[in-house]
Amino acid sequence: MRTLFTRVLADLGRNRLHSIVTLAGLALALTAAIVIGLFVRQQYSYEQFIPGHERIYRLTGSVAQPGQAERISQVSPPMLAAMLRDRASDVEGVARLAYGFPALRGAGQKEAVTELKFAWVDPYFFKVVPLPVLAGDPNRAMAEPGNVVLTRSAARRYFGRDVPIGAELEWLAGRGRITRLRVAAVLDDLPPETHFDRQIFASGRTAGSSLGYMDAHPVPNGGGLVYTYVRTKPGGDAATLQPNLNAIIKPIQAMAAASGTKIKIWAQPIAAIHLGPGDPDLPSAKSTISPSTVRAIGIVGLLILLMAATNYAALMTARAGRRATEVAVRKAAGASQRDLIVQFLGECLVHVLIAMVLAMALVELTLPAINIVLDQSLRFNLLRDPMVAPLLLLFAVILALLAGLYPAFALSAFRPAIAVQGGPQGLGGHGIVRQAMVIAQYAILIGLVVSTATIYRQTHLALGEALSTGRGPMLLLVTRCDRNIVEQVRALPGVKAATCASGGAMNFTPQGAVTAVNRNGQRLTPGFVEVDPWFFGTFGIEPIAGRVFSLDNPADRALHRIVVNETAARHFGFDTPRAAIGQTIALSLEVGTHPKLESVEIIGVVPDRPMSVLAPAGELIYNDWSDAGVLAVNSRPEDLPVMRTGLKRLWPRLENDVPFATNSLEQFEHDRYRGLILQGTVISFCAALALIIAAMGLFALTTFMTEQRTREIGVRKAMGAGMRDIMGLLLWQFARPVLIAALVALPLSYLLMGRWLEQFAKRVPLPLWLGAATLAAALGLALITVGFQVFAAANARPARSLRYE
Amino acid sequence: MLKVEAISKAYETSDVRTHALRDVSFSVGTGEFVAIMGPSGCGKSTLLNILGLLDRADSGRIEMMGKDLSSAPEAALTKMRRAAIGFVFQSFNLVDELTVAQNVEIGLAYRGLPAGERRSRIAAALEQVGMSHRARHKPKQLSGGQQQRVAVARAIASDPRLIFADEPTGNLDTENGAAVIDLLHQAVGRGASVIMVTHSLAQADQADRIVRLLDGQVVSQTQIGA
Repeated sequence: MRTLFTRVLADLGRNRLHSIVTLAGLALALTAAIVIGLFVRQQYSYEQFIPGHERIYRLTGSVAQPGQAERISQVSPPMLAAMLRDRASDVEGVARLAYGFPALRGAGQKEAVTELKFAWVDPYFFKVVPLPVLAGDPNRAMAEPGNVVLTRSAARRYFGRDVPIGAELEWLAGRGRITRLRVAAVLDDLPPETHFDRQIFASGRTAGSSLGYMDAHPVPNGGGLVYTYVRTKPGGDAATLQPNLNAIIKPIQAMAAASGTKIKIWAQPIAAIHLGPGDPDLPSAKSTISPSTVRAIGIVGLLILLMAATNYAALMTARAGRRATEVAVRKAAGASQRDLIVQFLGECLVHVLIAMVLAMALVELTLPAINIVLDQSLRFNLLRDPMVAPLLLLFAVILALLAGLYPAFALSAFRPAIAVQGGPQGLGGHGIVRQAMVIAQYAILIGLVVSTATIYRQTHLALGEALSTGRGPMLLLVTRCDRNIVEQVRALPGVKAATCASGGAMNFTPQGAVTAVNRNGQRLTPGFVEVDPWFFGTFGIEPIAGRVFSLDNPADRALHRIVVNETAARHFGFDTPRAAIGQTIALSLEVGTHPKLESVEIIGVVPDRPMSVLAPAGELIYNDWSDAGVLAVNSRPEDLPVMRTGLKRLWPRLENDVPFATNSLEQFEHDRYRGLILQGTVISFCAALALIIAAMGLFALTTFMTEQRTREIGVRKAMGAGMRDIMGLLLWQFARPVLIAALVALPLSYLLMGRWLEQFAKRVPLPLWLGAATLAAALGLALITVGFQVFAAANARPARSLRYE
Repeated sequence: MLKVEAISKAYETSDVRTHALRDVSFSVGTGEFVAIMGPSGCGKSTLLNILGLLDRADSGRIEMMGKDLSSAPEAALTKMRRAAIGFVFQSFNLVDELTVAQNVEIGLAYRGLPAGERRSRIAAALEQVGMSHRARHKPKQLSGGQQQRVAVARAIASDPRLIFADEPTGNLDTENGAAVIDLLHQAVGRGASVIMVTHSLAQADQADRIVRLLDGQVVSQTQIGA
């Protein structure tokens, strides 16, 4: 090994340009591979810090209403937990968690905040889901009403210390009521690898808790945001739970079937939650990532490694002739081909190990910035993380084999007799292989560029479809909201527009569902949202037929008049939006077997505004109803500070008991596409890296191959070739692999991107110009990279070229 | 055909300036076979490169076929090489990746000839040097003598007015060397002028005139068979 190191270091010193390019290419690829490896590993390691996580499940269901796509729901009916506990013998425990957004303050503090990381839990929640404890006994804590368990971060936020056992929080429960919550235990901060994002857990036995309310007021088909967690006994799993779930859900399924609705329920392992479809019932919950996205990112990492490997192999075989004499001498001294293969592979491994050290340094330096850009919390800890060192060694060995195997075979195959005479070494066949490697590199690069461009365009489309796009900053405040409040807010300086609506109207929370009967007598369950007359103007939604709600029409303020979207108008049986105006349909606010229907008039039709590009627009009905729960305030970007200040000053005078706390609609909508944005960012980053590696490799290869052809260039010039002839000859040599790569990579990329786009209801096309532009860019890269060297070679005096050894 | 006057050329490295040629003057007539001789390092190859327009002199005058090329731009030199010059190198300088026929074609590639004419000239040149049966072989499949014959074919395929040969038999045995010299004579017989650098007195004696160089200067010119 020492000899190998010495040999490699001597070679690095002799051939500096090639060495820098070789090592830099390997190091960059390894850096990308390490970061991607950390990312992929993190995605598959969720919840593993929870003891017995493999036996913990969350109940998940789906609802398919007639004419609508199946909708996954992570929430379950509140009474399901008790029914399962009574029925299933292989269940160790069942517990519920319900999100809440109370106004809280530390005892004695003046300002309250709307706590977004709060949950009500059943008393035995921490038996089912044993989260890491810092102090106290969470199980005993949750058994007592009025107790809370905080995480360390929440404890510091409210009390400035880690373990405030016995301290109190005040819950401003509205209408002047204040409930005291006592800190009974503290949890350690949860790692990033968990779907749990709550920091305050309060006993569901506390008076006024949503869990308590739901238990006291059960509804036949559920209601409320309740997540049900199940811990099976050893030996139990989702398959053993399913028959019990099916039996429990049977009456609910029968009831739903009357309206054509299909309901399913199953137990999802908690480790799979992060890789699931997300929580449509709580869009503000932690974002998930699809397994296909993780796989795609992993594959890109491997492609980058493959690219670096082919780069290395191409360079090594290009330089092979220089080592012919060494091979001849070793063979003459008795070395077998196997001995030489081992030697050359060993040299490659040394190169890779040196590059690995560089890569580890690069990862350490760049990981904080990468975490910010990707909004991740990746950690690289060689000493404390037992998996890292073996993984790195595995990468090194894989890369060394990928990169070194072919050159090792090529070099070890040299014929000693010819080599010692200084003759040519028959590398014609290897030249073809080298070309193939260059083609492979460019094919990967072209594929990555097409993918990056497509993902970017799709992301742009998705964000462009968002409600907030083009409106400027849009703040959302969850509050009691009436016309008086809206009018006062609209009069504030810096306010461009304001409106009050249900969260569902802004895709901030789920939309309600009602029962409607269309002109063909078909029953539908369209979405239903409440808005005020300012809503459509605030979001720039113009009617395509009829009108929207107006302050000048007080009669609009009733269920009897509705505005519908295009899809609703079509599904209600109207050929055109205009045909729907003034017509009536039957509508009920109930969803069930026998809803009480009333006749409502359609006064306007507006364009579809689907929640996301992932799903097609469903039917949506807008109703003018003023006490909806979200105030949206719009301003120009430059007026945002003034608007915020005015709003904050006005707030106490509105007497609505709700602390001043804002959300950004734009940020919320961006979060919806976090997975898509992440995918695009990672792939663009890898495409840029691939570009650098390809350029570096091509630069070094050009240098070497141009050197090799120096004499030939001299001969051609002696025979009358001009500079243009030589440049054309050499540039064509480097442009040809790009064209061949494009022939292979472009159709494949289009096919793969076409499949990827199928997940979106609204998608960008894949135009031909994208492929043409990518090809032009790849050719441009090749020509720019080699151009200077080719020009220098073509411009050299023939005599110098001919003297070249 | 070719005339040089007071040609000088020096090479500089970081420490030393070497005068490869000093005030060299001579001429070559149409159909003349001139051999340039001298010890190693006397400037023979440098002189040949300048005569063959592969390099430029630092000073002096060079006239080829009535044109003063002393300070002509590179494009003009390229044009002249394309139109009138053929080269035979000591180490053959065949391109390993090309076949014999393709190597010969290099000598015609830049003359704008139609494909059919190129093919017939390649065939004729290979026939002349006795290598037609190896047209599809690669250089590594040939012996040294055969490779040099292919190089000669490349040089004569375009029917040049001037052929420059830099020690064309240096890497060959006597028999092959003689065969190459014979091919050069045949070219002279067709009206070309040949300027050959050689170490071999026996081969130089087969020329019409011997120009001797020493330390970058012409020390004598001897007419053979005069």
